[in-house]
Amino acid sequence: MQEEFGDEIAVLFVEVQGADRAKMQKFALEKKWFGGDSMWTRERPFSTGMNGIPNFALLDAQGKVALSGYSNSMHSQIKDTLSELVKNSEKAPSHYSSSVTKAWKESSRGNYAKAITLAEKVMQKAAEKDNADDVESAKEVLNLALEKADSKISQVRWLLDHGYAEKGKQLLAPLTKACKGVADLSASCLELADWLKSSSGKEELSASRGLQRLEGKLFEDPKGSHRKGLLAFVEKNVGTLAASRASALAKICQ
Amino acid sequence: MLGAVIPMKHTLLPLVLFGALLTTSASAQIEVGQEMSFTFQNSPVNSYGVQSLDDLRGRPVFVEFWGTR
Repeated sequence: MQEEFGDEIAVLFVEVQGADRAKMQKFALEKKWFGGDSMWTRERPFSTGMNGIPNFALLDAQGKVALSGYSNSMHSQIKDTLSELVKNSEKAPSHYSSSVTKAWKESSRGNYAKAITLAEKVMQKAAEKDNADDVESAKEVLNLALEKADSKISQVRWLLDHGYAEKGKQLLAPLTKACKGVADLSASCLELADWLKSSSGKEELSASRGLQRLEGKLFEDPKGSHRKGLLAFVEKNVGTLAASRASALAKICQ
Repeated sequence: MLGAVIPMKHTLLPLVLFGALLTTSASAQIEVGQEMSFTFQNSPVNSYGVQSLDDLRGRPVFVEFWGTR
């Protein structure tokens, strides 16, 4: 599914047979899922009500259930529904006016500050003209842009806190640009950028780059002998978050 | 294209039902059109910091329930 739709969709696998995290990771490593675009978890976000596996649910871009059932017997239905959902995810809600749609499009492109500024202008003008519908829609878009920007900032913070400093840095640069002009969002981006410039940040950046190289080899050839290299990395980068991550990877390489 | 569906083991049913009772809020059953929301205790593996289903909004999400056995 991911191969067909690329990053137009998100794929989340939920392990429901009680495997522990290490077993699940080992399984995924051997299947060469690591480094790809799919995610997996042991936490069940909901139940489809099906009694067998594999079963699935498709959520639209707003998080609403569009289809559910058994994966193996509904392949073409899943594909058709996903194509439709991808198309719809690129369209603003039909009741939005052209000016609200413009703000929505900026938000969906990741231009959060632009979207917020446009939505605020629409709200102001619509309020002057007593256009309650536009005020409401623009408010929706403004909140959506704020939520998305907050979510991206939280994601970068998570990456920095979990030994993915290089990846966090790569996401932070365009995010900072996208948030420029909105004081709170810019302040959060600046705080993260400052940390990356600190001595701890520099140390983590260097370590995470080294680990990325080792991960590349491991994910490409999961059956190769990588454990020694990972343990040497842990020793060399002791105390870093990247070393903790390498240590966890070394365990599943056993 | 029909594939094999692995049935739940009947012997485990009481445990599964008990577990379901304990986790009702986290694993409520779904209906088409229902808006789903869920916060993960641990970010999904390979997600690079996704913390909730809300973080995935903006594009469709394919959620598949599977097993490692």
